[in-house]
Amino acid sequence: MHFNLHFVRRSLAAAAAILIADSAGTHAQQADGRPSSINLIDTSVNVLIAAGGSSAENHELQELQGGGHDPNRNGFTLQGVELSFSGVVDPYFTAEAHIVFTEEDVELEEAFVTSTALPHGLELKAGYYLTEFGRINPSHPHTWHWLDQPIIASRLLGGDGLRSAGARVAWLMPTPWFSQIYVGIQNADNESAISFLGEGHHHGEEHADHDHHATHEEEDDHAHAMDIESTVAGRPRIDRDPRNLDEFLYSARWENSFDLSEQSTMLFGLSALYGPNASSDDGETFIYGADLTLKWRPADHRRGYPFIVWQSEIMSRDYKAGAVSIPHDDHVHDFPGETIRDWGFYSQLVWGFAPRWETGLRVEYATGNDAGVEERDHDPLRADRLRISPMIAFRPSEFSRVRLQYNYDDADFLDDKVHTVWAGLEVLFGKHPAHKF
Amino acid sequence: MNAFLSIVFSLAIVASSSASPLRVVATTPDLGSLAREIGGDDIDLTVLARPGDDPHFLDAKPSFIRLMSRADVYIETGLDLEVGWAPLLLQGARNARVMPGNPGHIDASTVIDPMEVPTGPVDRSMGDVHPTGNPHYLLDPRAGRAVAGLLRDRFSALRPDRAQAFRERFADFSRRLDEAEARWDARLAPHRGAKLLGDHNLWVYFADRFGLEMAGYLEPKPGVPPTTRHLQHIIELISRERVRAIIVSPYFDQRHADFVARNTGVRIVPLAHQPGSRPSSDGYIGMIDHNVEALASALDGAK
Repeated sequence: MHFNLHFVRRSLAAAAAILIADSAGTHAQQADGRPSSINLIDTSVNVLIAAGGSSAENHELQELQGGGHDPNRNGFTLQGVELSFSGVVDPYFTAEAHIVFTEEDVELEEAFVTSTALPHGLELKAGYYLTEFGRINPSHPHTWHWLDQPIIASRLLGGDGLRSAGARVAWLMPTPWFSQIYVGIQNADNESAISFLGEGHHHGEEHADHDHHATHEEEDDHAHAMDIESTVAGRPRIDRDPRNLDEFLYSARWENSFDLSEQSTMLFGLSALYGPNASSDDGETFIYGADLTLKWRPADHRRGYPFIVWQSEIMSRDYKAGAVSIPHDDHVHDFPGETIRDWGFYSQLVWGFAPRWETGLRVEYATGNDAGVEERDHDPLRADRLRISPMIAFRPSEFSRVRLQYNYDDADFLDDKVHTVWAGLEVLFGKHPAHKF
Repeated sequence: MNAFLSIVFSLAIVASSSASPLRVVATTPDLGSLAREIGGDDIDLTVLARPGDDPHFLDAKPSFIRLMSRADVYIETGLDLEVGWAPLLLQGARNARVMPGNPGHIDASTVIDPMEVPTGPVDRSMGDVHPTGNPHYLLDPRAGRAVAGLLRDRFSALRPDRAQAFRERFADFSRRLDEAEARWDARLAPHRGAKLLGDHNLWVYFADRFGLEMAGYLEPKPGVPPTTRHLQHIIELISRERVRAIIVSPYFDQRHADFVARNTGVRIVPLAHQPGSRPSSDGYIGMIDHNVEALASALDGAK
């Protein structure tokens, strides 16, 4: 969801007004004479900027860096400025809104209401929110250890993360360990829902066009060549108007956590998505994933250090494209029914080796089957990819972070291996954040 | 882990009823120790932070969310000590009993007089600022008594049938604390007015109670690690102000204190910031016993 510049100016003015009101606070005097204040709204601003240099040119970098807030060019990238508001609504609800500014536009990242008073361990969330699939998708870029989004997440869940308007229920189960189930329903046609009915949306310059690499002898069958919008793997995009219950995006997640010892904790999750896709009137997509997080922190840590976090996710998409026939010029093009499968994983290890210092290594791989119209080797969103990224970070305080990251990229759609170095600076001002596990 | 699991399993088995023990979650060991003093066998107690933990920096572990979802009582230090992790537990627990405004939500700082509440504007260039005051008040036994009284009142409101037991345990605790305070006063009386240095700004309430003076801290600002220049300044300050000991807490790197001690000859005194965080510092009274004795012996020798 993004807006024009007029809206940007208006929203900035509104945000400034809220920030001023917030800093003024509302003070009351308690009966015993001690001052008290009422917390109406917490605000914070997070700024992520990066600078980098690569052996690849900018148009190639934009294909390699698929995340909507990834640094993606030689030189400087303003990854995003996130304005966050949160507060307690009443005894029954809390609410949050997150607005992200980039150089060109403004987008609503999330805006949702969460219940706090349902019985039996139930929690309702409704609004426009990031789908709780795995570990990366529901979290905001500034909480990530690396400067860019894992490849497979960008491919299957979209550069900005899969999000849409909808509602979900979470149930904290009465088990002897932490076990929670999420079940949700969201619109399948949000632009971020690229594996479903979404059209996708790119920040900044448009990503290099797929045609750039398309093999031209296949021109006749190619959606691009036919001047039709395409969806996954060069399949033509069909207009599909959501009106039935089976036209929504359904999500489910089951997560479990155990304390393996006083020092270490494990979190294991299974996630699944099901919804219609834009390949045909009966096209449907399944995405499923598993994630495992292990965290170690000794009892005698200093300001949280040392620690080790090992986090991995694997996810797979079955894009079931239905058979369609598209008239073009004088003849009809037939596209067969087929299942286009993509899968991949990332695994990352972060070691907080001394107070304020962290280092880590991330390994990623993504691949797929040879279905679809466009040749996979030439499709930046489907070709085999291997990326290895060591990283070192320094946190002067809880509110700032400096990072240096190296990416080694081996992508089938590029002739050469790519070497890139990113440096990033992040600051947060405003309300002290609480850190999710 | 095993202790955790056994608590977790017993919670799962014991059905909730007013006759069953109150399920109490305390964020830090000092609060846990006071809750145990007052609650005795009438509570099932879980303490989230381990004795050696820096309570500012704790993981919001999913197992904590689970414990909070079943708790009848949640006790926090307040004054933003737990701000980096407790809000997620409260939100995740979806348990109205422990949400702010209900008797099961106990912010212990509401019954103490906070020190070092900033009077002018503060911002984060000043380090880890606590705009509502310094949260390390339980190192002062007066605060311990006040919090124990608050726990007695809240526990009684939630389990009226056990109110008598809570009152008796408080009376007993209060009597033992009286005796201990007399002992501590006598032990530290010869050292009234002694100037001390701390690593982090943990000891202002303790110093206030026993007539000691905190001359400075190894951290130039709360949460900001010492620089060489600041340590140089501290070394000068020690000789100028005749500082007699450096108090160190378990979760700070002692290198800086060692450096200053080597350059000045001043003694290092390891104190307990939480019950159990130093050898023989178990229990709330035991923690202050340890601190008073360790400090007094160091000052005896430093005459």
